[in-house]
Amino acid sequence: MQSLDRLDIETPEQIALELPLAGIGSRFLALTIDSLLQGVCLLAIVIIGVVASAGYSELVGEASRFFSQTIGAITLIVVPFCLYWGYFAFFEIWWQGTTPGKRVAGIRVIQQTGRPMTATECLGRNLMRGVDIVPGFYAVGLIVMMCNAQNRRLGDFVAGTIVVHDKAIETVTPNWGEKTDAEPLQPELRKLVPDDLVLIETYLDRRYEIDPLVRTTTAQQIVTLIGEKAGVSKPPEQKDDDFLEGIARQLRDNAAFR
Amino acid sequence: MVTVLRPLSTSELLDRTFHLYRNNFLMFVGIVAIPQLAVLALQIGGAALVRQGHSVVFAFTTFVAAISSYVAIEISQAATVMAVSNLHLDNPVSIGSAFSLSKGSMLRVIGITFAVGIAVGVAFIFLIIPGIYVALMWSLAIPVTVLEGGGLGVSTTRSKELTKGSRGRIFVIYLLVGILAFIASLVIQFPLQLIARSLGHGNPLSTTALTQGMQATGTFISTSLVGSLVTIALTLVYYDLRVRKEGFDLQLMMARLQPDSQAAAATAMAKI
Repeated sequence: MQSLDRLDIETPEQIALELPLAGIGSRFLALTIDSLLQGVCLLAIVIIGVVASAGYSELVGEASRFFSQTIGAITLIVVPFCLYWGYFAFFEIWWQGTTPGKRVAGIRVIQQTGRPMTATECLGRNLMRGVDIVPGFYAVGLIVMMCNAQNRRLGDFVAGTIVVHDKAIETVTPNWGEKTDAEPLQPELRKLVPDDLVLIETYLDRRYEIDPLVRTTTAQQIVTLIGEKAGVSKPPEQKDDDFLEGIARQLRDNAAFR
Repeated sequence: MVTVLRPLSTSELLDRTFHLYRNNFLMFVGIVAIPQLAVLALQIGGAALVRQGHSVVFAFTTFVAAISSYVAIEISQAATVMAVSNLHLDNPVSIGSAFSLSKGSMLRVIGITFAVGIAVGVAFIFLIIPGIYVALMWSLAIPVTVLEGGGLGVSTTRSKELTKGSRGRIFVIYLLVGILAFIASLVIQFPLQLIARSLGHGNPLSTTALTQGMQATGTFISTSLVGSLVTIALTLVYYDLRVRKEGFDLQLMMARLQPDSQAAAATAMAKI
């Protein structure tokens, strides 16, 4: 069972890439953060524009009121326009498919082929934002995203892009190491199955995040389970975590589950 | 073993919400729509009474429809929590089994939602922030009572424990999913209202009845389509917090690895 939507790509070198697609939720989170940032910038620009316009008017007197009004108009109309339309394109080109909001949400825009997006594609997908936003609140974009398996809005279709989670989805899989002579595998441990190692490694990986009491109980339960399955017992003086680390290390070092 | 049960980021939780919703669209719509059908019938009946000028009967029907709507929403909420739980734990589920599995908790859900709603409403009077705080603190009371059992006191206390340290994250999830559901319901209701206005000419009583009928239909469609989103998100938050704080995923893995794994897994599921 997959936790999120995924896109499988096979490269010309016949390497299979599995990309976790960003869904409506994470993209909306990114959009909300970006919109808040745009709002803050816009507010700052409006304040600066009003103050600058008033200040210039006082400096040059009534004769140059026309120029002060022109400056005010430019600041209040042109700059917000550029901010709205240029923000996404600027950051996505400069930061290779991410914006501040996308960075927080951990997502990135890339080509459908898995390659980085070009500047032209970036401009194309952001120009289509004007259609996706119709009739308000990105309603068209939302409906289009709901109706296709890759969560793409119209801008993505036009530019041939997709939005993916920046960091690959972590799956708990045993870290198979090369066989070493450090510690030979106890014959009893051959009774264990790969999922037992996954359990031990998941616990070892997460042990500092869970509640200390839960951690102690869970470690004891895993030690009992593994001990019963393999027929090994933990020396009384040894800590549960050390015992489990020892088993995991032996299994990994001896590449027991090839 | 690739498990869905692992700590998820806010971004992943939101995506998982829409992933489950879209991939099981008909089931979630069905779960919300079936109880709402009774409400729709009452509302349309009320609208017909307006046309005939029975104002007292109409007022009574409206009152009954409002109560029924509340009960219908809570019944759907309980079934949605059960459906999400089964999907998230990779167990088979259908509309019928979701209702069947949750029927024991439906009365509790109705009572807890009412009590929590009153408490949040009272807290909102004190400059909104306390209301938001209480709402976040008890936001998992419904998933708790459906999946673990327990009445008002047990569910709210457990919800308070689980949400501790994660209330900011829950606020963001609540807000974003709520806004998205609101946008979707606007998109659905807007055309219906336009149709109602364009058709509503002539007899004023007919116009009112038609408008009310269309509004009821619009509310039914939008509630059925997006009504489950917030519940899906909150049920996923519940599991995420259990994984983070209680190592729930480890418990489930252990249950599945027991020598008699079928029975052990069933026991672990029963404790969920």
